Amino acid sequence: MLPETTHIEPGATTGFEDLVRRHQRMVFSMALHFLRDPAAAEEVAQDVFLRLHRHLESIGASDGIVFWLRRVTSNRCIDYARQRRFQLLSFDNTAEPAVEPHARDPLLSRRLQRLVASLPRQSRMVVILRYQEDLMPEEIARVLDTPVASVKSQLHRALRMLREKMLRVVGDPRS
Amino acid sequence: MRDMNDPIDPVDNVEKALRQALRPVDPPPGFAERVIQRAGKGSARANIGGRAWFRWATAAALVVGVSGGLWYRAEERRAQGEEARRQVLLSLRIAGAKLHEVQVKINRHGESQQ
Repeated sequence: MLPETTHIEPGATTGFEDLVRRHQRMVFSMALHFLRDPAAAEEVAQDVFLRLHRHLESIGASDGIVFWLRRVTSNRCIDYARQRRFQLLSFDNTAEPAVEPHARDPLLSRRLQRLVASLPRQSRMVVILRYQEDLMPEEIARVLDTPVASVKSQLHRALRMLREKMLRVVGDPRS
Repeated sequence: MRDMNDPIDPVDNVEKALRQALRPVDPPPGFAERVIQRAGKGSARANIGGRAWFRWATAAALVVGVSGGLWYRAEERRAQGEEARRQVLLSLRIAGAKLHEVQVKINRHGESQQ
């Protein structure tokens, strides 16, 4: 488990480098799962780390770097999608994630990723924070600065929607 | 107990399927290096920006200082002129008063002789 309250002295390059290497996977994955475009995900992830570099002084030890990174990544992804009116890429054009071979059913994962990408922006980020980052609704609410009840209802609706869509895609295995 | 990688029924267990689908992935090779390079350039730009800001501040302080000095000198000259004018007027007033006194005395002397 990564420490939540990592803090480094401002201007310390090696400290910043260490932070980038430690958290790049989390930040990039959130962006990739949200945007479904590796180039856009890298752009957003780089921007998040450059903001971290600029604001290291103002991020107190108590705030926690991980919390800050999750919050800024979430906001940047949502803003990016809103500003660019992001067009969902075809999965044929999307690079395969590096850890995909671990998944037992890559086709199922691809379908699910595509369905997640079709969710409304806020619900999509809620799902990513819940199932990529394994956060509880209360923690998601803090990251997104939104009421817990709203997170719970978005999660509930998103899961119902995904279940229904999966049912249409793969058919009911019980029938 | 089923392993995370076991085949799952996506409809029955959409949450488990989501955990598999949304596993963290590695960024492209060289990602950290690119970020660090850009952050370094940003710092250099910030330093240059900081120096430029210092130059502008110094220039502004000089302009304010010189303008203030010139204004003070002009104000001093104006005050000196005012003082000189006031003294001339006072001298004229005193001289006028003295002349008046002399005229009064002459008039009185003339009246007493008649």
